[in-house]
Amino acid sequence: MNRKYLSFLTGLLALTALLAGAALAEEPASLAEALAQAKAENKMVVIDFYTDW
Amino acid sequence: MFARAVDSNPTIQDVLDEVILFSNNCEKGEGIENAKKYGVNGYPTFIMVNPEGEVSSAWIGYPGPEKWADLARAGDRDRRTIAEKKTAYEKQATKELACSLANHASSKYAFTDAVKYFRAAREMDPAGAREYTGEILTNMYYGARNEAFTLDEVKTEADHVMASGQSTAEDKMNVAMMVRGMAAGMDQAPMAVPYIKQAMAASEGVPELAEARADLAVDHALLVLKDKDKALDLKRQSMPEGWQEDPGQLNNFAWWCFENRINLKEAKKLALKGADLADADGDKANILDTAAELTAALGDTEGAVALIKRCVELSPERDYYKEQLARFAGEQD
Repeated sequence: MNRKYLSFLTGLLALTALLAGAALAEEPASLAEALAQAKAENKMVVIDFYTDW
Repeated sequence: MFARAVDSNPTIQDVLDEVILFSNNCEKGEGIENAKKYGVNGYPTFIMVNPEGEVSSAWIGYPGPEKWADLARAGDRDRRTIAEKKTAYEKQATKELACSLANHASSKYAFTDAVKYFRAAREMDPAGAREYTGEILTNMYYGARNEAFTLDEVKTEADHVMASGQSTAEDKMNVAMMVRGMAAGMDQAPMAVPYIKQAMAASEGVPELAEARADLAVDHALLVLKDKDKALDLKRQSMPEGWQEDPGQLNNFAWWCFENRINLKEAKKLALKGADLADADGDKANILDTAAELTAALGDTEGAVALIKRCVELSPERDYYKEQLARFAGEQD
C-alpha cells in the first residue's frame, strides 16, 4: 500500500475515533444510575432489554 | 443490530442526545431482576421509563433506525405513564395514544388489545392505513398461536391488504406468507390459496422478491396446482447451498416431506443422515423424531418405536418423546 495513503487512512481513523468519543456519552452503569441521571437532566430512560443470543 | 446502530447510525445518535440509553443484559446480574420486574417477554424489548422508573411506552423488536427513532421520539414527547395514557384514551382517543398503547400491548403479548388499538388508529388516520394493517396482521400472526383470533378476522385484514391501492408487491407477499403459516397451523391450508395466487402474480419479475417467491412457489405448486412432484422439485431448488450436509436443513427438508406426505423414503434416509451429522444429543433426538414420524408414515410402526426409544435415551428430560413412544407403541398393538 502507498505510504501516503496509509498515513491519510491512519489520520482518518484517529479522527473518526475522536468524533465517536465526543458524540457518544458513557452509558450509566446501573438502572438506578440511569434514573438518577434522568432526574437531574429531566430526560426519559430507554431500557434496551437484550440477550447475547 | 441495535447495538451496532447505536455506534454508527446518525438518526439514532440524534435521539440519544435527548434520552438516556440503558442497555440491560437480561441474562446477567441486575439485568435478570430488571427484566423480571418489567415483565419482559421477548428480545429485544425497549421500555421507556420516567425518572421514577414508571413505564410510559414500550415496543418489542428493533424495527430499523428510522422507525426506532420515531418510536423513541414519540415516547419522549408524551411522557405520561401507560395508566395515564389509558385514562386519557378513554376520555379522548387520539392516534398517538392508540399507537402508544398498541405497541405497549404488543410488547406484553396482549395481541388482542394491540389489534384493537391499531384498528382504532387506522380509523383515525386513514392515510397511514398501510402501516397499521401490517401491524394488525403481525399481531394476529403471533396471537394466532393462542387462538386469540378467528380465521375470519385474519381474512378480513388480509383482504384489506390485497384490495388496497397502497399495498406493494412486498406487502402482498408478506400477507400470503403469514396467512399460509396461520392457515396451516389451523389445519386449513387451502384457505391460503387466493392469497398465494395474488402474491405470485404481484411479485412476478420483482428481483428483490425472488427468494421469497421461490419459497411461496412451493406452496403454489402444492395448494394451487396440486402437483406434488413439482412441489418437491421446487422445494429442492429452494434449499440453501450445502443443505445435504447440514443437520438442521436436512431435518427441515425431511419434515416438510412428512407434513405433505411426499417422498417419504428419501426423506427418512435424509433425516437419519441429519441425525448422524448432528453434534448435540438434543438435536440428534429432534431429527430422529422426524425419522420416526416418517418411518411410521411408511407403515413401519416397529421401526418408529425403535427410533423414538433412542430419542428418549438421548433426551430423557423431554416428555414429548415419551408421549411419542406411547403413541407409536399404541399404533403397534
